[in-house]
Amino acid sequence: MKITKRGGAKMRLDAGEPMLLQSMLEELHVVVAEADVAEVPGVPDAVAERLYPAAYEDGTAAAEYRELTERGLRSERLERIELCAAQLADESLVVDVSGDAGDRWIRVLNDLRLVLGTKLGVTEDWDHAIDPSDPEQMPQAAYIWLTAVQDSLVRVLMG
Amino acid sequence: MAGTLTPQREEIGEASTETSVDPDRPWITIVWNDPINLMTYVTHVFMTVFGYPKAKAEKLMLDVHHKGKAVVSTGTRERMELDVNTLHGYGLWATLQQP
Repeated sequence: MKITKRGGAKMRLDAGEPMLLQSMLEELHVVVAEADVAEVPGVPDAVAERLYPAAYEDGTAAAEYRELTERGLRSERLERIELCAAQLADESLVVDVSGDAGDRWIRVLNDLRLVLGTKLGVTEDWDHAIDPSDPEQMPQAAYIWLTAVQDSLVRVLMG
Repeated sequence: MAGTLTPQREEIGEASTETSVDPDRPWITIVWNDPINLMTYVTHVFMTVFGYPKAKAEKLMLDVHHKGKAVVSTGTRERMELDVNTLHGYGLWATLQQP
């Protein structure tokens, strides 16, 4: 994968990457659709709490705020995922990431990393060395790849 | 949206339950450090959401990274709730409070 800027920003994927991204987006769509902070009272859902952080220190104010905002944020996230997925539908290796599409892609890539990073328990000093014997090797590799894609895309969009 | 730094007169509604504090005192939006959001991305979000120039956005991002948090906007409670909502939409860990 690389991001090019000439003639409008484009994400140039390698063979197999469109399908890989498609499957990641399908999975993300399910996670985002189901993640609900208030769903099971007393059972913290780390992914939901990362997607919909508490806006207030006070628990009651935070819950009231979520009540007003969570649904809107969820539907916006789902729409962005659907629009990004639609761009991959023809399995083209070149994806337009100029303008609004670029904004959508960096946010969807960020949501992918938030969900995966939260599940992996990524910390500040998480080193990027992959242990081949670790069953988490695949998601770790995916996380590192997504990080590289997002970082390249943000740098190109920032100019 | 650069106007978020200008404190506006607060429209006092049911939100003003803190009777002991001056309702006109501005609220602040804080972004907290987290291990997942990239430094480049956070800078980009501050530029996009608040219209801050790159130098200011980078300084705020570095404050978040090194000090653990930064105040990114100031204004009415309603305005800060909108800012927090926008930042949550970008996946940033943002809160609001009246200091």
